[in-house]
Amino acid sequence: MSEFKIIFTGTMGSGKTTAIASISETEVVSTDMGNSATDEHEKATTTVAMDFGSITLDDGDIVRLYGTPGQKRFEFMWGILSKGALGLVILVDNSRERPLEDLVVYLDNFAGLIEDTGAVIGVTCTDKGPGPALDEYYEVLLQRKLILPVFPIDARKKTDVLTLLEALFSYLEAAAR
Amino acid sequence: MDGSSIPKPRGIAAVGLSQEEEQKIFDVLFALGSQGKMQWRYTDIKYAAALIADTTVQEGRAAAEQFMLVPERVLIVVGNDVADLSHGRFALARPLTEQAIGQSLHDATGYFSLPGAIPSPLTVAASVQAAKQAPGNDRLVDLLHNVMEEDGGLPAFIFTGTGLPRLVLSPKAKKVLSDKPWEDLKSFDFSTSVEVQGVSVGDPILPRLILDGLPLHYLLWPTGLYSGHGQLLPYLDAAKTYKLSRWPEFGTIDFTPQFLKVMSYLSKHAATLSDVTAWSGIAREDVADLMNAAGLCSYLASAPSDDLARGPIVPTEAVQEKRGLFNRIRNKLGMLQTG
Repeated sequence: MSEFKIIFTGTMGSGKTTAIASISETEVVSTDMGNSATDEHEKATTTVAMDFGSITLDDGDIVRLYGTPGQKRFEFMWGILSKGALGLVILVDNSRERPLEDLVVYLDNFAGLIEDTGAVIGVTCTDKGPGPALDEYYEVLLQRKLILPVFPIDARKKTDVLTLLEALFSYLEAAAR
Repeated sequence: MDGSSIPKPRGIAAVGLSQEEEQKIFDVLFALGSQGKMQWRYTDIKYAAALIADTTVQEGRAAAEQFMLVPERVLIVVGNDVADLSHGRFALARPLTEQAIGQSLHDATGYFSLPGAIPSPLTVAASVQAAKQAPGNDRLVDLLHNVMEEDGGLPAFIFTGTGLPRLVLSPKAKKVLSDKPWEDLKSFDFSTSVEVQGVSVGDPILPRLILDGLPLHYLLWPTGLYSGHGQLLPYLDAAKTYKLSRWPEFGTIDFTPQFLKVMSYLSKHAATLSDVTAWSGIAREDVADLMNAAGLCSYLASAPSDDLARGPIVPTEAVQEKRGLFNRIRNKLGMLQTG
């Protein structure tokens, strides 16, 4: 039996826990605590170590879905969690004050994983007021010479999360060549 | 210094700034004028050659976009950390200082180094004519490709034709306006001949295009996708290798797993049409249509092949293994298999 893992990362409130829950066949184990950083986000709880979901394939292989904690003070966990991962899903909350700068944080911190495997970017909360257009996300990627797909998604919708995974799998298959 | 050597002042306007900031600009212009360096005068945006705008506010952003539709103008962007600093655009950080304002004016002055840079009416007419090739090559896709390649200094173009919504588009602003719902475009016969005409500066349609227009790929993607009927369009060469320069905006256009497969391969490898077809297992006609769409949107760039020996591209054992794993995950999650 083999185990694989896919990492979901992004800012607090971007929908990582929700996205994992929408596709995990096991109940998501969530290490939530009361959110003390309400200046960053008004949600009541936040992930302090990681979220954990899984999918068991027909032959018994398991795909682990890990959600990294979003707050910057937990970034030491990001490298630990991403070791050996198949790929990365970055979720960005478009309603935050500086979502493009948020994206840069994750592109920089996961640069090694992105280089070795690949990533897709899901932009959430695009309906919550004006935020950068998708073109501006692509500009950020262009500045870093990264050619990655960006999708506007609703993390609560399974179909949207599956779209991200399909894009990630296609990308990883192309990279393997 | 005699009067003939003093350059005629150009107009400069400001949008979206505070009263205090505008006063600072006045002060700098006055100081320059009193030193005999009057190259700029404060004026209405209609007569301005340069604009200082806060593009983080709607008013400033809209004014800037319309202003820069006309070539040979300068935009000084205030307050936008990710300003597009392409040709003719300069950034001015807040808080505005007299020194920084002076530097921006100096840069803007330097930009206007060649007199007569505004295109003459003859040039404009020739550009519109060039956008319409000989009969037989006046399909929407051909004309679109022409104006995207060379807009002749015109701010916008109007496309009309039987069954075609009236389209107004600006290659520079990357926006398009349709007088009918976008759904109507799906029933359009893309082989139909269409007409194009240029839009002059000051046309009342321009502000509406900027405010209400959609991103240009709303038009370019379906036009590229449905015009080739399985054959590469003239702006692509079957013998050349291409690579994706950026992903299409799949959030706003329809896509299938096949699209993702083709775009993924082109994002990682410089490839010919045959390469992509061989690797993906997708019908050559479908791959050609997708490359046409990406090409018209300027998402594809000609790139040297990354294969030292150009042999046939076949999926390796590594990719077969990956496909096997991902297909099992797809199966488990109810996603479509991609082969």
